[in-house]
Amino acid sequence: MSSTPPLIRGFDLAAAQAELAPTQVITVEHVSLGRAALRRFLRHRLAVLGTLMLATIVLMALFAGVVTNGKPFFTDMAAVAKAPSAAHLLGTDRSGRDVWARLAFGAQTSLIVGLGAVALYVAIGTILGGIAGLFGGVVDQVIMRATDTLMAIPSLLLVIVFVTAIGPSLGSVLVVIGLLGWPGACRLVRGQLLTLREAEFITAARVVGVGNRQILFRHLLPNIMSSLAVLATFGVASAIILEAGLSFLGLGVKIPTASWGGMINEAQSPSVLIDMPWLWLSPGIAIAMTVLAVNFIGDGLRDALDPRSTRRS
Amino acid sequence: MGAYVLRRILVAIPILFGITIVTFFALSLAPGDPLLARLEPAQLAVLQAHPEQLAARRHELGLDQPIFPWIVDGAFAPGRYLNWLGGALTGDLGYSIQSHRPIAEELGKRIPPTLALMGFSILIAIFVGVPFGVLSALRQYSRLDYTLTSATMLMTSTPTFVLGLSGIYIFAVWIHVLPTSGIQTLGKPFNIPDFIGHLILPGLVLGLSSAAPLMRYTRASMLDVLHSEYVVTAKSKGLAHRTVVIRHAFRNSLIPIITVIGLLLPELVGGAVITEQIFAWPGMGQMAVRAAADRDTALMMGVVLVVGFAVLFVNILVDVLYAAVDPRIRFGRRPS
Repeated sequence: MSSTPPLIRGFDLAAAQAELAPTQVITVEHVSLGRAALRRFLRHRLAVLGTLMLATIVLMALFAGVVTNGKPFFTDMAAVAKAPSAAHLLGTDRSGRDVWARLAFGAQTSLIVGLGAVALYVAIGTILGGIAGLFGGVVDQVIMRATDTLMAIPSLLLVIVFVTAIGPSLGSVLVVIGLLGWPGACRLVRGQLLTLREAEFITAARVVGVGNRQILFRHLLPNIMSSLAVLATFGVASAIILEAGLSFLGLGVKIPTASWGGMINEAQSPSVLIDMPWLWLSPGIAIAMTVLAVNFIGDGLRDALDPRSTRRS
Repeated sequence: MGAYVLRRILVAIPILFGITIVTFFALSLAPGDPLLARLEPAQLAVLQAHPEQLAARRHELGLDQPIFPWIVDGAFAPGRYLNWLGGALTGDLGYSIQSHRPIAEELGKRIPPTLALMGFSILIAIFVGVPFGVLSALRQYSRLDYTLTSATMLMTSTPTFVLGLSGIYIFAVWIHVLPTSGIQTLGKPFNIPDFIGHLILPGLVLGLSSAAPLMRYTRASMLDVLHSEYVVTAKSKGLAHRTVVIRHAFRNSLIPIITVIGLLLPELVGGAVITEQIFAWPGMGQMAVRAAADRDTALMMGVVLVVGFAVLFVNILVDVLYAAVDPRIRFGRRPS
């Protein structure tokens, strides 16, 4: 290493190039932001595992009619409260319904509520947060106080109040979680807008004469999108748990619609809990696995979408 | 400091009003006549045959009033909400439909069991979550760290009721050391050891489900501090590892953790609703579920009022504590 030229003073560029040229070929690969994020995501082993798990559950929900006997409501009086067997893979409940069929159709309920409610509240939160962040002043104050208010009531209690008021069903659970879940997204969008507005690259864009519209859609929104995607992913996990909890309490999705929480509701009676564990164990595991899969994906997304965050989880 | 506390309280008051307005509005969305819904069929037939009696009963209960202040027949009507609020401010929360007893009295009986359950759970969450979080951060990327992090992930993904039912199953079928239901052994006089025995299982379930997120935050907070410049400085000037970890890193990592404990409270209330239901724990959560099932509007309002007040109170407490340990807040600067 004695021939290495000193770093700055007396640096002989030509000599250095001559030394490097024959041995090293420098290739610069252009990697788009999306591709780079995808790469980071795929390197996150748990995120990939989560994606595979969720894909399995989605397939189970989509083909619920094919992979089971397709009759989640059918009550077979000849097979009431039977333990798992060849005829009924996961057994039957106290009304003679096939647990495996209800499990597969219950996946539909969980996914519909989880994805639907989050889509609804991310939309509401983005619009309200955008209004608050861009306009400021009194509008901002009003929206932020509404956010504080909704956040001060435990979400389970709030959802119980609204769902019982308008009548429990799959639709009402979805709409209520969707209409009440927006404060988190709203705060995030507002906060990001306020921070980004002061960011140097926005000032730079303004200086070169980029218009308001372009700044909003090309610079602000894409930057907020990644945080919002992470929030939405974890939101799906919470919404699935919320729906399951509500149905477990008997205040959510109603029988005969299949819901994992509703299936576990039966286990509130000690005889079912202790003597028929197959009735609550399989939906319990299904909820935990689905939520775990979504959480893994959320973790992976967070690491993938934010290159600045050092991996610490 | 006094001005700071006062400002926090002044912000909280309109939020508490907001909570009651939102809930009152939601509860009055319920279809059907709240009066007719709770009459026995025989009584109902009598009242329906005599519309004027029905109207009199409705008037008596204030059900002919609008929800919010409005002009009715050219006169100002305060509306059901203001009537309720007026009562609430004087300590009169109305009567429960089901038990016909004053709601303030019902709440009074339900608050202590819930406070005991939640207090015990918070202690478990702190004493499990914080030490394991610190340990996990100190041995980052070790086998212990991976084990603890995976356990946390699994815990946060398992709903409280699945955890609770599994707990009951284990203790009812395999090991019969703890009672799995209720607050005391039936038929025996109330005594503290018996009460604590009943508290352990629901408290563990609720506490462990909050310990998981707390551990996650503690780990992240501790890692942040461990990578900060003053810890590097402390290490490089040759201080003992113990001293650096305890005096420099741990104490500072506690600051954000205080906020997290406050933020976990609404979650904990939600968890308490479910835990109380599973373990037949006679607290506020169980009462909330009963109020929802019975459509007992006044009872539900009472529960929401108490819970909303408690959450805001703890939030203020947390903010004050935070300001007490972090001088940057007291002087109006946000921590970076």
